Amino acid sequence: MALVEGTRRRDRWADWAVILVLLIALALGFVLRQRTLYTTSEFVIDDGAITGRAPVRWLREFDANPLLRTRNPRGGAFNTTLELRTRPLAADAEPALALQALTLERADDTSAYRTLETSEVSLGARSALQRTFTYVQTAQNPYLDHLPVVVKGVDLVVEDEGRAVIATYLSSAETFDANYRYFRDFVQTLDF
Amino acid sequence: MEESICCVCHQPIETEVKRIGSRSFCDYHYAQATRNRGSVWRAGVVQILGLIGFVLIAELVFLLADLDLSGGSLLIAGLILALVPALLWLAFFYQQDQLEPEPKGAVLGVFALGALLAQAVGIPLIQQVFQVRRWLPIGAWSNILGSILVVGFTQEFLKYVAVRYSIYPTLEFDERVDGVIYGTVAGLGYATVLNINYVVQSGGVNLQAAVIRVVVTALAQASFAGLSGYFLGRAKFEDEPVWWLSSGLTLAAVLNGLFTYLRGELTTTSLSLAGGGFNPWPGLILAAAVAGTTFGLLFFLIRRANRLTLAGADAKGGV
Repeated sequence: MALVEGTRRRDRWADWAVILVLLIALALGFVLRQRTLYTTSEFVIDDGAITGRAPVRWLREFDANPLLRTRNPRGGAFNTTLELRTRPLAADAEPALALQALTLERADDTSAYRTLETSEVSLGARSALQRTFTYVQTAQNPYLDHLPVVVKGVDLVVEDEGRAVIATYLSSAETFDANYRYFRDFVQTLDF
Repeated sequence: MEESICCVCHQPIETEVKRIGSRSFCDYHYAQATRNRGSVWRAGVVQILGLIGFVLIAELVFLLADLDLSGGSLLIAGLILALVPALLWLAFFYQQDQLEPEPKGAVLGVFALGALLAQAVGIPLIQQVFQVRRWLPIGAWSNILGSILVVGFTQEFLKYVAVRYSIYPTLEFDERVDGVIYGTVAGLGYATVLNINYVVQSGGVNLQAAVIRVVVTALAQASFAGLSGYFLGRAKFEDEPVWWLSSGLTLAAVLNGLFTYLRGELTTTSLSLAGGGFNPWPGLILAAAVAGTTFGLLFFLIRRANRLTLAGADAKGGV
């Protein structure tokens, strides 16, 4: 009887071992997923003395306007994009002016541009102004065969010693919420 | 004298007690546990050859008949294709196994359970929770490791569950080879749902590519589930260590993940003006090789285990 009981106990432990191995595998899989999707590396913009971190596997372009544009090359019909730009700001000017200027630019450059909501948010110890907007992206490449994409975006502007630092997030409306984490991480690591 | 209980039927053993390790068997279940069932292996070989033959015939028909299906008719044709591998296996198995067939209710039950677990747990977990399409293709290592850790372990665990918590504790699971049989059935149930999802999500499919994909999925899922089923069969009738079942699951998951990765690499070709981008034939060759090797190896291992058990019993004078 002791022999039988020992065998049964071993069988029970064997069942639990299977579940334990599965849980370990899935946990490792989750860590791998997070690392693959969200690993970042540092960027430095000398002109504006701005540093931050952006997804390591995204394409990066440094230019005058925007200072940085980084895009997910595997984004499908619309590549999720993060941008960083600065605008000079007079001593008595409000950061909202920078948002107004961007709104006018985008209204010219895009189709069906609409601003959605403007709100004050805090970014660490600083206060910031955030505006969400939407527009329709039509393919520039005539050989690309897909429907126009509804893009949703966010501009976040922070006043910094005579200039406005503007971080922008652009994603297709369908993936906006799923990819928002990239923008949150991007903004939280900005240092200027 | 201490009363012994048969580990299969849980009845007191009134005749001579037979043992494999510390497990006691009545005469009938000892004979069952160590039985070599040639019909199972013949059905396996016929299944692999039959599926390859099915692909070749279907491709020939598509080539000669110039079928112009679209919309609902294309969807229905795709769904019928998705069911063919499971129907073929069942037909071959029962045709080969007429002397003492497995109960149809048990076989269909495990098949349905494998299919249900795929639809209710496997596909949502892999596609929606882990969203593997977003990150597996990013790099070779993330692809290999993700295919093993997420896809391989999830699929193999669910097929294992379909056998372990349904037929395994019952009297019907009374031979070592039953693990391979019911594992294969669970794998075919899982594969059928994967194939149906593939057809439905595509809204109908290119039939020439679909027939190969359906067969490749069925061969692979059945082989890896058969492998973990082998570990289940040994665990029920022998004294295996605590890590035995988890090792079986891990081995099946690793092979599943490597297969998923290799199939993706082998079937992706370079694009040219003449076409290209996808060639399913290497995937079929790989799946047939994997299935043939797996079932050949399991055949050898189970026959060897049965032979060693019977030789040991003979040496001890039948006890």
